[in-house]
Amino acid sequence: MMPGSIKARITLLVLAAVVGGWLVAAVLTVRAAQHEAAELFDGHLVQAAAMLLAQSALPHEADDDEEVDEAQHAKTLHKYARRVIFQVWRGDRLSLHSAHAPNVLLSTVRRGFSESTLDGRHWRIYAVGDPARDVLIQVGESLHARDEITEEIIEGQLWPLLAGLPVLALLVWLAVRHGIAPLDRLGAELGQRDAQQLQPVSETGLADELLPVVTRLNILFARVDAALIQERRFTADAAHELRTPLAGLRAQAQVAEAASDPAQRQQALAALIHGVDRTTRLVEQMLTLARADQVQSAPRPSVDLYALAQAAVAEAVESLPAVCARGIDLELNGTAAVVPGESAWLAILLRNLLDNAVRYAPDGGLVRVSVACSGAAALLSVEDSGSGVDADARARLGERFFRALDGVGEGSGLGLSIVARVVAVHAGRLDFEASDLGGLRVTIRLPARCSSC
Amino acid sequence: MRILIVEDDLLLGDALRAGLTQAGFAPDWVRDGVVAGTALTATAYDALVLDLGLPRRDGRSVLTGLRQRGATTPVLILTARDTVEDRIGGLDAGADDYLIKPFDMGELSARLRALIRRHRGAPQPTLCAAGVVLDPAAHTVAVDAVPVELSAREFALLHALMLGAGRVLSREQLETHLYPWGEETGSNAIDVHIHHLRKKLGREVIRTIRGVGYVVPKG
Repeated sequence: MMPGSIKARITLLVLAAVVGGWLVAAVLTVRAAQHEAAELFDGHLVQAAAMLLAQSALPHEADDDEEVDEAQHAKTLHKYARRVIFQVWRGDRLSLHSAHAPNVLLSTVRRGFSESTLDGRHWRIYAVGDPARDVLIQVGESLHARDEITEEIIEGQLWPLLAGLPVLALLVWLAVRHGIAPLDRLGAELGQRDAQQLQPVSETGLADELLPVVTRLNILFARVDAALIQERRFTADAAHELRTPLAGLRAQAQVAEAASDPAQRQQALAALIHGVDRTTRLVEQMLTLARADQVQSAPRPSVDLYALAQAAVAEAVESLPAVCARGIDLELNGTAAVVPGESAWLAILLRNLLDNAVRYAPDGGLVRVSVACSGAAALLSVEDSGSGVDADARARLGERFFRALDGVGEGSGLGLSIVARVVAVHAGRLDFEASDLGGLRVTIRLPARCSSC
Repeated sequence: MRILIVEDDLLLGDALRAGLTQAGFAPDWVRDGVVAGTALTATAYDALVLDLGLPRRDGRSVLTGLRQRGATTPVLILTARDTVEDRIGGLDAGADDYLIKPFDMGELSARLRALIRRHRGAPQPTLCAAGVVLDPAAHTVAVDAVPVELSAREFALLHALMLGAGRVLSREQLETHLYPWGEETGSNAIDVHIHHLRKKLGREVIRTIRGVGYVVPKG
């Protein structure tokens, strides 16, 4: 179970690695040392045997069983005090042996190294003989010393590790903490901010690993900030734009109230109702625009622009009073053009375009809608036969609350902003040009899924 | 009192015209700044109700143009722009008052009356002259404390004369004060109204200065 803290994790991992490595090294060291010690002792055994062999060649009385009391020579206690036993056999007769050596062969092996258990102890035995003189030397050494050495070495490896471990842990912890400090600093800086603070985090002097995180964080902050600014501006603009209609409503109501003559009162009340309708439409456009602002780009189903245009034109003829009242002609031509899109939003787009075009068109004028597919793009254009919009005003047409008609029509100034937003969400392009009908042509290019293109 | 309304919004402009007429003013309504500039040079208005967000030429420009010509016409800015900076800017540019939409029609009328009073040099809200007390806000006239009924035109005519009490006003000047565009009548109308006024108020209130005009003496 890894702890949640990065510092704790790294510290534990480093310590585990160090301890693991140390232990492996310790095992190898012990083995190697053991091996070398064994060779060393074996070497001594061989030397001792050689000395005895050489000594046995000296002129010697054929005594039996001479004991050498080793104990007398072993006064200096050394931690590696070897228990050595030896036997010198002449033929079958034990001629010389050490104090505690038994009377039987130390080992059945008559030449070279072997191990033997005598009296419950383990011995390393070396045997060498001179067959010419029928002399056999067997020298044995207790394995105890070797075991002791091994123990010493192991302890020598482990104690430093144990003693050093706390210190090591502390050092690793401090190092990790120092290393992680940039992350802690970033966390502290972000933690200090409240929800309103969206200014970017400084990218200077940042650690390499934190740079991508902070860069993306700053991009996010910038995006949220821009969205908030746009929302605030929109809210402020909307409130501002509602003031004049509201003032008109209030003033008409007061005129109706103060009217002495019923005809004048009726007129004022009629104007009031008309004003309420207009203001209602303005508010609806504002809400549509606010919703359009929130729409995310997302994978979309396929929609036929031509079919939508047909529906929109039919609806315009039915529901826009100006079409009948002012005798405006609507015309649709084109072919099917399939685009990825939201039919609801595209319907709103078409409705706003037609509404605008009808406004601009003169009495008895024409509004023409065309749908076409060309290459990888579907083209939708709406044009009117009005007096058009000059180039300066054309550049401002997508602006919120901008009315190009100078108050002649009763537009909200938001229709084309909504169109612009829907086009943007559909990754399309919006252009305003002069139409050969005399008025304005609005052209929209959308990426298409035409099979025939 | 002739008022020029400069407001591009159809609903509000229409309401202003009707409402100020109800309040006893003689308003003209124009819908853009260029036409406003022309109207101001053609007619001497008693006050100007000016919207700032106008097509073709914005309200500030109309105001600056007016002041640069040296005109002292009182100007009341009527606008949706409500920040302190906007207010300071408008007043410093030469406006005399600043009212934010939406507003109360009664308040607008009262402020216009105050501006006109001050401009005429007659700071008292009620006008007294020749024993007549005229209250423009309440639309009442009293002679020696006895209330007198006057038609709208008569009231307006008396008001104009009393505002300029002690000054002779010609027939043409009186017509200008009373009639908005499109309502100019025969020159006789003034004489008829004067005649009616004399009948209701007494002969001494309005004096005729032959060949020049009419005057209401001060005091």
